[in-house]
Amino acid sequence: MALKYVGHSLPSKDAILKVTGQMFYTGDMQLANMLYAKLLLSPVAHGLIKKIDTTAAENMAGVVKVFTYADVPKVPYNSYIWYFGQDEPKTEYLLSDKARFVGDRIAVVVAESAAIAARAVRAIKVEYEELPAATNPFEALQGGQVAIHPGGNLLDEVEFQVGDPEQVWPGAEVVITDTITTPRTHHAAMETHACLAACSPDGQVTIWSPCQGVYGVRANVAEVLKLPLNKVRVIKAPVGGSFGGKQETLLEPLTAFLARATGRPVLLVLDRRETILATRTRTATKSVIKSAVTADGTLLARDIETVIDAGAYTANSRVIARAMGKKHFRLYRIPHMHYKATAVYTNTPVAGGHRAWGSPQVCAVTEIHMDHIARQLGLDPVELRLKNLVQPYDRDPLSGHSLGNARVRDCLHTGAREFGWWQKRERPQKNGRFRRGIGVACGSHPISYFSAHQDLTSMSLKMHEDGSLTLNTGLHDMGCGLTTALAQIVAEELEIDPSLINVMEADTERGLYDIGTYASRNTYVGGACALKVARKLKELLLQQAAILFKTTPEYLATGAGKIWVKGQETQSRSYGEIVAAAMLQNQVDFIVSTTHRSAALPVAYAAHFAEVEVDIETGLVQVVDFVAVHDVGKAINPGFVEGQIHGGVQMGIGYALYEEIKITPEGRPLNDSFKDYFVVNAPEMPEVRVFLVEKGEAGGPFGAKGVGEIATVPAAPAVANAVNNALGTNFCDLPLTPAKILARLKQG
Amino acid sequence: MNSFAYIKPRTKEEALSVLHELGARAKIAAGCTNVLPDIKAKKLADCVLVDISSLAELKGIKVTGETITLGSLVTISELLESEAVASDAAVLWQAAKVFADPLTRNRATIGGNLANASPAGDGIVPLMALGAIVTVENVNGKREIPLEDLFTGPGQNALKPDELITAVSFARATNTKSNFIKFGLRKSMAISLVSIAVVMETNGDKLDRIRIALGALAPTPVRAKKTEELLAGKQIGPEVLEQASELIKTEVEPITDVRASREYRLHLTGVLLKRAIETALA
Amino acid sequence: MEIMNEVKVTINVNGQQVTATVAPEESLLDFLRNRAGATEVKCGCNKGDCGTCTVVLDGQTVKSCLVLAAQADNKQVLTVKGLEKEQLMQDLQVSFANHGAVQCGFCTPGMLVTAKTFLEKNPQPSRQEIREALSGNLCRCTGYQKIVDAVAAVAAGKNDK
Ligand SMILES: Cc1cc2nc3c(=O)[nH]c(=O)nc-3n(C[C@H](O)[C@H](O)[C@H](O)COP(=O)(O)OP(=O)(O)OC[C@H]3O[C@@H](n4cnc5c(N)ncnc54)[C@H](O)[C@@H]3O)c2cc1C
Ligand code: FES
Ligand code: FES
Repeated sequence: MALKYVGHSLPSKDAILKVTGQMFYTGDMQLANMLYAKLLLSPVAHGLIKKIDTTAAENMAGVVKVFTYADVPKVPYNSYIWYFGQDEPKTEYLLSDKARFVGDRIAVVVAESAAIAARAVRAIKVEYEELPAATNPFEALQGGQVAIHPGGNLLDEVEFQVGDPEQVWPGAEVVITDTITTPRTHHAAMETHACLAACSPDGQVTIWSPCQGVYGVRANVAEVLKLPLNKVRVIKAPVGGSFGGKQETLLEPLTAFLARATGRPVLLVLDRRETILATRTRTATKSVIKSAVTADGTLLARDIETVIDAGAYTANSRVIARAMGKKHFRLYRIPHMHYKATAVYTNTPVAGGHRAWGSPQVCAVTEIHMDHIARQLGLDPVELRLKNLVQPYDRDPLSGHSLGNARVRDCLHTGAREFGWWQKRERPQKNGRFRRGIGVACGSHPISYFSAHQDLTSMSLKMHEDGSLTLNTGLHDMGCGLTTALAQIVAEELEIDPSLINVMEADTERGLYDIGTYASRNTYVGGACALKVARKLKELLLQQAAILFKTTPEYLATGAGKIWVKGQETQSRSYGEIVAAAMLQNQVDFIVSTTHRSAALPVAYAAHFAEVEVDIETGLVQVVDFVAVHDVGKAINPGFVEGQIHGGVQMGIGYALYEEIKITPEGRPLNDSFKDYFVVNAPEMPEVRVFLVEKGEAGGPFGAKGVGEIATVPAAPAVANAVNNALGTNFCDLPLTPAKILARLKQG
Repeated sequence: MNSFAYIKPRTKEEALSVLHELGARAKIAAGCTNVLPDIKAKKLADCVLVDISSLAELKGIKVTGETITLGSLVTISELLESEAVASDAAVLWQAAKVFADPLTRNRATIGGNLANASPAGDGIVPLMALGAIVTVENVNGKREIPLEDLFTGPGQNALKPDELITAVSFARATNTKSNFIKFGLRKSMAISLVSIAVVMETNGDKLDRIRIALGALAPTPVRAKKTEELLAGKQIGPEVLEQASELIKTEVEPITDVRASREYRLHLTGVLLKRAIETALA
Repeated sequence: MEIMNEVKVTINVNGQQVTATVAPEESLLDFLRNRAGATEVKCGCNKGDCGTCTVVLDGQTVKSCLVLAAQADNKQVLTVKGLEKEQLMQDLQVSFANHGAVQCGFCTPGMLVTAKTFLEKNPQPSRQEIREALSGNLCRCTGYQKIVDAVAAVAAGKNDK
């Protein structure tokens, strides 16, 4: 049967609020009697705080109070925690008593206006005893004298292995090694970080936050403030972009504390510099990758050693070291594989999750390396990949779980055709100033937490007496269109217009449980839950209709929001009529709820193709063509899927060519504004041609998989490979800035 | 407690007397595209903002005989919309086209660009190649400063605290060939890593005279006079261009910063000189 | 004319006269958000680098964080809400919504204002011209493609997808 709503590009339900400027983001919110907070960030990369003098600031008219580490609870926490009881090293405090990076939180002012708070922050005098700083992991590992945390600078080491690569190296026909680095980047959501907190006389604190997981926020806030969970209410506010940047509990515990300490609502909005330095960054990595291959290009063994720059606090680095490892095992069939990661503290901004949680790093490493192998063996990069890629329903060698309907080969075939790969390969290279190059990369990213963590989500669906509905969830729409997609799923199942459905997002008090909007799991897990709860409601409707029609459900038919006894369509009754009648006559409430847990760990795949033009006199790279093919199972809303991919490609092009938060060896950030931290703007973006492979994924609603993160995964290496193809180079250090390119060309 | 004050003179005369009274405490505010970010970055404090943005005397583009005069409040967008600039000061028009982005161009003034004295100023470089003269006034009267002599260092100009740039003028460059190249890391919204403006008078395929100005290659925008001399009177061919692009590197003193290294900037200088001349001649 | 430590300004915001006493260094953006309640004007950087604060000031499209509130005294400001009275803005709003040009929406009010004044000047732009016109407005979600689609569709007079 043709689908009526699923598979259609309906506009996002909240678009109208956004185009009319009526969407209220956290920074737009106003509560009576509200105060404004402003942070004082450390200007030194590493130093002991000798003295803080807050008198001048506190004496300013309009300043309510200045808080330093001495005034806040001395409870360590880990901002990355996203469910209650999760056990991870806790190294952060609301405010630090030692500066560990430029951007560390030293003090906070609460004042009657934002302007006063900003002025007061400047009046705080801090004396630091500067300590030597370690700003790269290698230094930090050696540096005995620089201990960023009491236990030393080594945060963690982890190893995974399948087979026995050691036994393969000696006899291998070809062994190729590369050292590949990926930069520390900024999420660059247009909305900076913000949080609003207020407390009620009964001691409950309410927090509005553009977060990705209200229950993680609640767990952290409750822990730091020593409150019962039901005294912390977290409401997901509209999100002006996150990309993982707002996934951790960064501002909420502090803002909640300030609201309790002052007894008044407190709004904390970071500026751009603070958001770049004092929130989270994409983890910078340096990896050595070594592969054994046969002369015809079959991968036999692989070894990867990665060093992860955690920055100054633990956050997710211990976990991402593991996640990155697992991600290495899901793209190619390699019988013998070893992965080792070392996560290290440095005196730099803290690393955290950033769209696809390590996958872009992993993908840059494997895919740039794959092209090196192809060049070395004289093979076509597409052919080389086709020889080694996983097949549908292969098993992840590490966990033993099925990869699901892994359609990466289809992506590669489609992409090569649409991109004109073979024609472009045969085109003779231009001489002169501009050189053209083409590149391809494949990528993978899982779309649930199955087997790794709890992967729960609950929803309730209520039908009102007129047939309109409210779907209550614990989910967070980041602007990707999730709530609309859920409405499409429910609408499809109930055969009604999606506009009849309100979708409520996360609220720890009024909403239902969900572990959080991470891991591209919302469509696969959340969408499946929505489908399940819709089915349950339909059952209830049929059951109640049967009573009203004095028959049994098997004799009923449904369509277009109506129910009738088969053969008597003219006497159909609308859902609303049935609800209203059944509430009166049968005393039933039309609310159903369900909990869904994923039962598999399918992986989303993609193949990206880039064509670049490199100006060999200046090193400037322009991306002139881009094809992105994605294995999405089924696109619930193709327009949203394309939108995710366009944005992902933009981020990937930035990762390949422009973006890096640069920190001097002394720990001083060099580009803490958009003036020097380049986000790709409209004229730099090529037209991206998107193609979808829709072959269905069991367990996903209507066969859908997630796409939000995979969208960005292969983009950067595709661009890097295109540059290497254009120039005959083997660039392995992102971003490929013009200066880097030129320096290499000059070496000859 | 506030470290800023504000005053809005109604006429140029009033502005001059305010500047005279306030001396170093005055901070002229025109389009504020530098002033406001500087306030936000705390580079600027404790001053009286002298808002000149509505002074009619400082507005407008005038063509008198062979001279084009830009009031100091002329915005970059106005340069782009001016037919006189497009036809008789093409190098300036080209620079305006790649200046910042369309929104910033609506506010940024040419006077602010000159006074701000950024080594990378995209308004300065083409005007230097046009041999522009800056008109500066204070309560005592008027003086004219060749644009080349306006700058004393990065962000430093030769104005006295009570002086106001009122205009900048240059001879119409009708029979010239010119080109401006801004090299930034993206096409728009990027600060120049290196910029170059060339204005040439040619006679057949011989180059009679050339003026070359460079941005972001020294503490201030500079002319490349030795290179100009080398090229003057020459027939332009690959060899001469090669020579010139080597020589020009000796005339600049670029620094290494977050945007680019010294070596890279030096290299670009040679490349862009060739390109600018070739494009202008094409 | 006098030196003022505070400046009393009156700005017409979307047809409403708003009067307030502001600090000399206060930006038009802060005035709009904090004094005129125009929270549809966003602040993504406060330094002129992102375009989320774009408004029309006496007919000119500007980044409001780059204008002193005092400089806008006695002037007229139109935000996306004020421009909504015009058909062209309504067309753009509908087109943005229908083309998926809106994701998180934080860049949207600024994008729309830029797009509207651009189309008035250049009603038949190429896609590249649209891209250049939007170069001062950053968006991190959409890769700009659907924004360009939405603007191009309005220019071409076909709004509904
Ligand atoms: C997003 C963005 C992008 C930018 N891109 C570019 C670019 O591509 N190229 C470029 O060159 N610049 C760029 N700039 C910098 C800036 O826009 C220009 O320097 C602009 O020309 C400054 O003009 P203004 O009127 O805004 O000056 P203001 O900010 O008002 O003033 C600048 C300085 O000049 C002084 N001043 C102003 N007018 C006078 C006068 N008449 N007499 C004496 N002193 C005066 C002021 O006191 C101040 O010191 C950019 C700025 C931003 C925010
Ligand atoms: S807030 Fe004005 S340009 Fe970014
Ligand atoms: S839609 Fe999110 S920044 Fe543009």
